Amino acid sequence: MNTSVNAMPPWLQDALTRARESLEQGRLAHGLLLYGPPGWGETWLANALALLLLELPPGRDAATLAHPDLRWLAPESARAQIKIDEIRAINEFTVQTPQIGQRKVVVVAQADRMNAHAANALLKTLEEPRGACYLLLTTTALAELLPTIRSRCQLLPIKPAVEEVARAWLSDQLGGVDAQHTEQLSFEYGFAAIEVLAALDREEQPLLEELTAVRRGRLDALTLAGRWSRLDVDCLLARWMRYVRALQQPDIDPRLAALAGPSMGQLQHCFDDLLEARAGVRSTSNPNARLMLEGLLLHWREMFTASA
Amino acid sequence: MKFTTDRETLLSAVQLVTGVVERRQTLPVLGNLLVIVDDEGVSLTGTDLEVELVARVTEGVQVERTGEATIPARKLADIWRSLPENAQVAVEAEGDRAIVRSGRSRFSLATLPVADFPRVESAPGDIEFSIAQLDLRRLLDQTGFSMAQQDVRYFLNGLLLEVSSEHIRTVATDGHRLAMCTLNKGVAGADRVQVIVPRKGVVELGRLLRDGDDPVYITLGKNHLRASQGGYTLTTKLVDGRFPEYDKVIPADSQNALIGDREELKQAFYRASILSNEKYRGVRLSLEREQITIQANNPEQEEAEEIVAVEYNGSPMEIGFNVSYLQDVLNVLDTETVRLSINDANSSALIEGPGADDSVYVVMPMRL
Repeated sequence: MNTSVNAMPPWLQDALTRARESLEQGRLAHGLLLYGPPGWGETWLANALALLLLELPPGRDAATLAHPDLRWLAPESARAQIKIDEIRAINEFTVQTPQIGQRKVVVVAQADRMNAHAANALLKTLEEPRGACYLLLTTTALAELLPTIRSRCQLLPIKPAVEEVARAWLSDQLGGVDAQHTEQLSFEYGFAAIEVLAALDREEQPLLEELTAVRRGRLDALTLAGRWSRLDVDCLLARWMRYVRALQQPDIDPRLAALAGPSMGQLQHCFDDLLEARAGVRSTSNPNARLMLEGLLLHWREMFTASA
Repeated sequence: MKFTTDRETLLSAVQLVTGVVERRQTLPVLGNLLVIVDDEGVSLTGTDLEVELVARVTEGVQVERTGEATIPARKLADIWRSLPENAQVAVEAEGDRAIVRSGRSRFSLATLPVADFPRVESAPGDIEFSIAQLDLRRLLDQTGFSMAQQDVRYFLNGLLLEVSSEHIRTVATDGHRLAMCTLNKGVAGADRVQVIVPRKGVVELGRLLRDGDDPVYITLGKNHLRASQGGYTLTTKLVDGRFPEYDKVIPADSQNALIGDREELKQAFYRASILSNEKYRGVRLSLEREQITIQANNPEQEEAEEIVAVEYNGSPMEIGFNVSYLQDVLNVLDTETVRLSINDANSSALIEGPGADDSVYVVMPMRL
């Protein structure tokens, strides 16, 4: 993670500056909730703020930093909850003396993933932290946090930038390499720049080509479903939905010309199917992703043959 | 870096320092030991970010090349332990590998960057004193078992160390029982300084102490306790809180005092405990003239009864206790007899070992 000052995107810089001013004026709360829509860098902000509080030079990755006055807690895996034992360890840390500086810092990344027991165990610590101890909670799903957690924190919202700002920042980061590829991925991720950067890092390809290939019958839906089922399906469906939404616009983007054709009603139907599939993925019922993607892709293909 | 030594020279250092390292941790570098080789010898450091232990060995080590490396702690300890006795061992680090060689054995271990290993500056302390290892060990052993575990009253999850010009004292309580041990050797100039040492610090400190008169040097700072002994230096964080006023909890001597044979009572309590409620561990004590009856029963309606002859001249009474608390006290006392003072069935009991006046124990009764 590159979080040096220069790389700090402008929309995070604003939030960081506000936090720094509060700190200097002695108004920074001990419990802070950093939240924003997915992909806009709430973790980057937590990282920068943690380094600031510990008086460390910016640019280090606090999540992998072995520092006696810092604890960084995040879910162990993509779907894991944060459990009470992990919070108990945090609580124990917060009541011990700092070793190097005056302040102690705890980051709970993706705090919405705390289960109810864990969240309740954190309440008392949030309410009366010992000494100069700062708890930084991050989330992209504010509504899923317990209200009791939310009400004990000072809110530090991250406001997403407009497309142009995100585009300019991304281009700065990448030095203009493969701009078209980046632009297409950016569209799929709604210009959430930090997520786009991560997607580029993962060497992800835009979905457009494959969706077009299936539509043309050049790519077998079952083959693609097999390939896609190994990816983050929730995220994939969200990206797909952006195309469907774009196709519903009165003026279709010329890059999507190959996908023009289906009626508004068909597109809405398709959108609803994707939405439902996404709800299924997010629920605990754990549907067979491959089977579900096969169905969706076959429908996708049928939608075009039916409208032709 | 490169040095050679024999297995025995570093065996206990490797094992003790590795003991501090957590088995599971999120930060890989904390699973490693920092090995520093300088002109005089070798230092090994292990930490879990709460407790840090440094072992310094200068004798019996031949330094060939100075330098630093971090080496996987448990793997190194396992290798070291399983080498043949008195084996000559060479340790060398180059790039991202550490090589351990002994006879026909060769191990190549993956190292991690030295810069990632946390280093704590040796902060100055407010008070420094030395104490015989034997004495400190007794202070810990006599009280440590009474510490609370994961109590929301976080200041109970540790051991109080109190230093004054008259005494050095340890106190531990979990709210149901309390243990206090006092060493009547003060530290000049100390004005009743109190620190709370967290559980892990107490455990690791205990592992470091030997049963001798050799001194251990203690430094108390605002944020840490440091103990140095024979090449080892342990630094632990402290619990940031105030320990309760323990003097108020200790009951005054009572008329109703029972004196019994410690071993006999211990055995009787143990046998009775077998049929006590597994969760609440309650036993009923009936005190009568010159004898005590211990009764226990469980939800299956099974019953145990033990009658033990004791010296008792007080008024007859019945009182309930958590038998585990009584057993813990009888286990750490080392006197022939034990004295149990009880005012009434609703107040705390005071337990002492006649002849060992340094330790006192308070156990709250249980409503039966």
